[in-house]
Amino acid sequence: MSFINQQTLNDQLDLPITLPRTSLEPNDDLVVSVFELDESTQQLTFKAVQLHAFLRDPDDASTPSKVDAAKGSLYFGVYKNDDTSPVLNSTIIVGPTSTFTPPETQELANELVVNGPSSGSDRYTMKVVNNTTNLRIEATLTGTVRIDLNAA
Amino acid sequence: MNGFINATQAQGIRDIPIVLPQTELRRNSAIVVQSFEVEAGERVKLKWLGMQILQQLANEDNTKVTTAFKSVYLGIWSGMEGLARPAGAPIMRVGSDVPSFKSINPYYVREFTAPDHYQVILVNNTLGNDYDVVVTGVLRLEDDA
Repeated sequence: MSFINQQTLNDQLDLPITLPRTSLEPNDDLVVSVFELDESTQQLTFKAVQLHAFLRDPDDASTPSKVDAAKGSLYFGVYKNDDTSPVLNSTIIVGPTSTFTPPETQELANELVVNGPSSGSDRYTMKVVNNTTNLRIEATLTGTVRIDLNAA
Repeated sequence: MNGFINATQAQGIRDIPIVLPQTELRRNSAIVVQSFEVEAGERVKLKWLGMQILQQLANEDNTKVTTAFKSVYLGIWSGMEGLARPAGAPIMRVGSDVPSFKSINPYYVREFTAPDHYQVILVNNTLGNDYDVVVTGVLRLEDDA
């Protein structure tokens, strides 16, 4: 394990991914953060991201009607440029099964590393999505992503 | 300085978030996104600041309040404690007239060392347009050794 020098520390910063408790209407999504990488030496590392569902409305045992059956009732995803599907392994799913009984919490299962482009720029959009057509969901997102401006 | 970081130095370095999730920014309005105070012996570095106009919600009047600035801009002011609307030119700003992502150059670090109260304010500079905007950034607070 090597030591950290001042230059290394200067090149690394932790960017926030935060959503205060927010009500999401059915089939609605909210952009939490946007980052843009424009150098091949830049790197994003998602390590700590937690998605919390506080309540659902109506609060009964009814099965959520999902827009995308493959995803949870509530999910967080990292989207690259204009992609309509999140980056592989970025999705945090809350309420993956037919039952969805908040309060529930899920966190990012695996570290996600994204490298900057060799040319041009890539924009990464972080969204929290209400994947149902029949529920209002109140949720928060807490997390951070580390950007290295000069990753080796 | 390019030496190694010791434990005392590391304890004196903290990253402070600048965060505004997707928010509707109404015409001729402003939102204070972050407010921080620099005291003697402290150094605050603006490491990252980006904003994206996600979409324009209403397009009724493009007239700008301040013609020299963009339709939506994010700026840092000093000495405005207690005010919700900015006055005068910001120390630095980034902005756009259309839905797009704009950010500062992260390799050029801006430092705030003068003891004062600073505010990061998002401004809708139009008289009749509404926008959805998101802001992400980070400040690094360092105690001078």
